[in-house]
Amino acid sequence: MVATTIDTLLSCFVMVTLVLTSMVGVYTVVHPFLQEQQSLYKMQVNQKLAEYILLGPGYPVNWGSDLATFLTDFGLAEYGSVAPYELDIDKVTRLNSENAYNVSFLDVFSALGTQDKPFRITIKPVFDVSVNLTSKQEGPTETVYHFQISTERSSLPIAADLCCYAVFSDQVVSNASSTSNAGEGSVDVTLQNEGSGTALFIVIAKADSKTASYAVYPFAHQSSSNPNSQGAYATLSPIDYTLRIDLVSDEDKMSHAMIMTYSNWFSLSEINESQATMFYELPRLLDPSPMVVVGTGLDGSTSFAEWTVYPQVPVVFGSNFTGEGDLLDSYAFRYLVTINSAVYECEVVIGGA
Amino acid sequence: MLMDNRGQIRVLEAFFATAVVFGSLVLTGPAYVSYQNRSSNGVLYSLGLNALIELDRGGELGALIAQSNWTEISSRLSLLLPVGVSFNATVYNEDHEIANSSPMTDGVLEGGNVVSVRYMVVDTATLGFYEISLQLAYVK
Repeated sequence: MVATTIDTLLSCFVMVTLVLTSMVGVYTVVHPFLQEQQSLYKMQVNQKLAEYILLGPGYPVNWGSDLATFLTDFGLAEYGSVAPYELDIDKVTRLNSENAYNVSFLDVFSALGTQDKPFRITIKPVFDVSVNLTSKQEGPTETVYHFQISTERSSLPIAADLCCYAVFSDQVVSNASSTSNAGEGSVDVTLQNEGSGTALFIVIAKADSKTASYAVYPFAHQSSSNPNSQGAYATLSPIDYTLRIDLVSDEDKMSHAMIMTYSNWFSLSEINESQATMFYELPRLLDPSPMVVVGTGLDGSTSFAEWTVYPQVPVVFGSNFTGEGDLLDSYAFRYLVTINSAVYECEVVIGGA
Repeated sequence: MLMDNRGQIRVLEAFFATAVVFGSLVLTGPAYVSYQNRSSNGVLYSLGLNALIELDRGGELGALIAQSNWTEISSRLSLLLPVGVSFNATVYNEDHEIANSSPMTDGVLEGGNVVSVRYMVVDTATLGFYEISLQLAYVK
């Protein structure tokens, strides 16, 4: 009788232990399933939102070039485009805070209508170009500058074809080159020794027919002082194929404006002149390339040079996610987008509630 | 004696049941792993489709296939896909025969979770239809 009782107690103990461990085991297995399902659902919702931004034109549909209207729905796609991920050059340009016609994050956030989802949009070229002035040879009438150029993507070298321009006052010198599979190349440019001040060395690189990037390197020509920093004399704001130049000081004068792409460069004609603000018409070029816009002028006897690019990328727009834990529940999506026939990389980060 | 045996059988039954429950928990492991991969599969699929859409913009992909320029297709895919994603692309013609004479790949798709993207391409010059199968995986 005693043995039977002990056996029964032991089996009861084993049964209870079995039930408890089973409960713990089932919870351990099922809990990640449920969490994963919730996480998958969140990812899909955020991905749809990111695609909505890149595939929808927003409202008004031409809010990028129509500066008079108020944004009521946010989207970056080019209106009327039949292909997906084709973004409007002006909508992207207005995301850049350096542009005089930039839209505020508050307006965009309100227009998107997702109050519980902070977001950040980054648009940049697919690969990077970096430039270094390695040497110069000064002659009596001209100076030869030797530049080292490297092209890389995510710190890995890539080969690219290069079109280079040196701009000083009204002088424009162009030269073609390429970088090797090691991502290294070099170019010599020659400038006449007329005047002194800031010159620009512009590189537009193409890794294939549609994937392009650029770099602009300011350097001092016939001068021992440093080249002027960007925005020191004027700010350049391209929008709707019109360039607006705002001079910082009335005493300075902008004398030349030009636009460079991979295949061509053109002088720009002024369409409206005022004391501090000038407008130039930009040509609608079909070249799949970033368009580097340059303005040169005089500060007394010293030449200065200002530049921007159209579309104004790289651009980072939106929440900076710098708060503690801000990125814990956020999702990042990478897309390739086309702006003015050239391919760029776009990252959309959407935060949690 | 009979009563004693009955108690031992209960204990054995309990251990048996424990083994069955834990066995079933172990068996659900692979199902969870495959479930967990669904989100990364979606991301890879989206990356692959996006790269093919960009490559095909303006009908360039169809033209490159018609020219049998497999090296250029491979190099462009390598540029458009993020670093850390390896790929293997195969082009099929209208008779569903492999059209590419040389492999279009930038790595070995092994051991990882492989996602396949199928994309229809038309060469606008010859009106030839092709199907491109792009397999993607994260580099381990």
